[in-house]
Amino acid sequence: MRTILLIGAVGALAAAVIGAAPVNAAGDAAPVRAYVDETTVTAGAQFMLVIEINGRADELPTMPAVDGLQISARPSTQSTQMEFSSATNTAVSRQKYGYAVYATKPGKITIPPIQIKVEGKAQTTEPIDLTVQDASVPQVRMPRGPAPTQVWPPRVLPQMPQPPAKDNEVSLEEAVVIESHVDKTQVYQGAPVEQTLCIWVLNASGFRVYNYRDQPFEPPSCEGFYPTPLEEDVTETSRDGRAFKAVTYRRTLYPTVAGDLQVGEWGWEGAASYGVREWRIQRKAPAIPIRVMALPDAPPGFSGAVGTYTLAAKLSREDGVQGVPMQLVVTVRGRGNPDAIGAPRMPKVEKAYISDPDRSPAPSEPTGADVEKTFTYTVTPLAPGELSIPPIEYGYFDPGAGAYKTESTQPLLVHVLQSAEYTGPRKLMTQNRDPDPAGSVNMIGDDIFPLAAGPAGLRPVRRSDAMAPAAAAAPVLAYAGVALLMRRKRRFERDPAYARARRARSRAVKRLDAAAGSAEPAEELYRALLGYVADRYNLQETGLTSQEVTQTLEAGHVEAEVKEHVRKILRACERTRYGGAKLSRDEIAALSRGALDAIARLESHGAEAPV
Amino acid sequence: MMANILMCVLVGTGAGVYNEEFARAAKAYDAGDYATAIGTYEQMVGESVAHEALFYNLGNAYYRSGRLGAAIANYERALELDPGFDNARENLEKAVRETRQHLARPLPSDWEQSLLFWHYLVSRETTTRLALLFWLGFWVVLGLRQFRPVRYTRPAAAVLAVLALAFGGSAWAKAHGPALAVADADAAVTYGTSESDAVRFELYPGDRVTVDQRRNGWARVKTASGEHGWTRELNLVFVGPPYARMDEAQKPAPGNTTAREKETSAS
Repeated sequence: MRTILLIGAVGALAAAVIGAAPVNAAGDAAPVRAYVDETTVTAGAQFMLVIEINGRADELPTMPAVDGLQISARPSTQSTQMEFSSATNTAVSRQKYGYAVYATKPGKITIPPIQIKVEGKAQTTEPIDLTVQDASVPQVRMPRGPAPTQVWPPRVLPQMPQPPAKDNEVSLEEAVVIESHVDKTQVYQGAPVEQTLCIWVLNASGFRVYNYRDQPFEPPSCEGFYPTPLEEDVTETSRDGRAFKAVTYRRTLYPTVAGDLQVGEWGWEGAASYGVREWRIQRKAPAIPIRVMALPDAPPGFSGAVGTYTLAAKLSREDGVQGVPMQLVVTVRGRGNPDAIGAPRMPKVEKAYISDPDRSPAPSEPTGADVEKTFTYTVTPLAPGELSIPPIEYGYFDPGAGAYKTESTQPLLVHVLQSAEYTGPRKLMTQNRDPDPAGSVNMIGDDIFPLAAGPAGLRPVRRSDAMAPAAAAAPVLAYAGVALLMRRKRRFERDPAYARARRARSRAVKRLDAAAGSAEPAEELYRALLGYVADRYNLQETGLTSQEVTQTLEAGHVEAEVKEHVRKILRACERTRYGGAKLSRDEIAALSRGALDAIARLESHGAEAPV
Repeated sequence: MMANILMCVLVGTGAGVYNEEFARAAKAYDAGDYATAIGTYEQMVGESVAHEALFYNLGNAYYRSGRLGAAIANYERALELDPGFDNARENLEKAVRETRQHLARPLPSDWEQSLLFWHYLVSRETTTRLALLFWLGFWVVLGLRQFRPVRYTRPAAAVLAVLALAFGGSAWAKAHGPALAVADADAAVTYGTSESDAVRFELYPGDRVTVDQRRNGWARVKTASGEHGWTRELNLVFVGPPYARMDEAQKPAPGNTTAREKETSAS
């Protein structure tokens, strides 16, 4: 009881402490308060006027008309906070209303007290003094018209009329501009055309441009061209003396057919906001016609590539071995359509077999029109001696020169060893590794690692699959054996009748063996057989008579023949005991055998007969 | 007793013979006689000698003789026996770079590799041994409980049982899961197990695939990119045990044509 009271007291104290803080805070605060997020502002820039009301306002605050300020009629933000006072058991609400304000001219401006009716009483805020500075950056002229009522993102934004601009103002048309350019309008088929798409947005305070409806960027159509992926770049730059943010998209177009083609008209749709006002913007850049000229008749050996290219060839080894393949890597670099770069044609080499080329699985990422493509040939020297691979030629069309050109590599020379002369790969010692004591060397480079040293005791391995099931079964069987033994042991300890019955035979046999050498063999035989029955059926051995034994056997449903056999042995022993006759050695042996036989037959009758 | 001594002597003598053979093959390799080296190494493989160094050296000998498929299969065998064998890994990568298609090794998904990293980091032999060890431990702990109650035997037995099952499952999966195989010849992969089926794609020497079904001398193969189809088993070398010799006839069976041959005959 004392504990409950103590807990109750602590709880009440804690509630009082927790509840007291907000009540005091709310109680000490003025019923209404007005403040701005900055008291020095720039003409044309947006700032917030916040009205804070402690209590229930009867109506929304009415904004006064202030010369030099444009205050939004309705709040753009609103929040309510509830506080509970445990002391007075009342709830107090705190509301905040945020109004967007623009200064329209520089100078000192004062926001006069604002009257608000709170819970039936008229409350007044303190006046706020503002300093409005002249704008140093061009301001976006706000189109006239009704204030928008939708919140962002609107489904359809109003298209505003555009009155003529003043000198220090930028019209919405000038604030967002898009442009589409190509670097040339007359090209050969396959030659690269660089296309640039740019969205210019005025970099002015409070002016923002959005991607309207979050649509993905759609470049203009380019039918008849193979375009590369677009690369995006954002920069801040100057345009007509004003600061702009430029989002530029670049790609390379490869004309695939000859004729009069065009890069389609480019349309871009977005939205602009300035303070709380928003406008939908649609811009269009005109289509650009491009004349694509067909290539002149191609000479033999033309690879199909159009552009400017260089060629390099390198062998994987400086010396070769007869019959051992090596790699010849030919690299084509330059400016042009990467998909049009075909494999260089290999010259005929008599002393070697050169395979078909394998193109590099992942060609280097093209940067603009700069590309690199690698072709790997397997060269297998067929004969020892000097192997010369003549210059490899690569024919392409140079659109700048308007003519076909051929690039060629330097001839390659390889010394080819006969197989038997070959003494292993060229050995290069790494700086971090020491040669091992066996004399082999760690190698780096393009060749494979050398042979491994022979392990000690190599011998045929017998798979362990066949042994595994046996190995898995062994512990289970061992556990089963242990469990059975332990169960038997526990039963012996727990169940004396069971223990007696189990031990009855061995005990009786011992007593029968001992009977032959005793002074009273008939007495001992009688006791041994009687003791067996007593153990077997959990009876008191002392005082047990042959008649009781017979009755016990009858109750245990022992066969009549066995029962009679036991009775006869017991009678014979009794006659000898009470008659005083001395049994001969043969008679003792016969009685002992008979007793053993009777025990064996009783054992086979059943382990635990009912008593 | 005598029998044991005799067995030890016989085994010891046998080990010496194989080490001499191993050295002889290395000498032949150093002399550039790759055919002799391959023959000697393969004879040991045929007599059930299995060791990572043996497969690695055999891979080198095949590489030098230009048989990329057999070289890659032997490097894979060496790595299967010893996943930490760096030289084998380097040489394997080098050999794969020289294959025609540079096909990646078929690998399980990323989450499987992350979750079952222990399965992929240890060899099949080690996994089996660990499973048996944990299994034995589990029954020993249970057996202890028969004699007298010991604290924490129940959670210990549970942990051991989970570990035994995990490693047992891992060993079973390694033995019965999709087998890794390497193409040793140009092989047409068809939609079904008939020569008249359309060719799906072609395998070239050294391309590694997994085989999840085998039927009448045909194997259903799957590449790293998920392409699958049927090809003749004769075109493949299986990486896992039992280790078959690769220097015996690897000629395509009659009627086992490549896609190119099919195209030529069709035209």
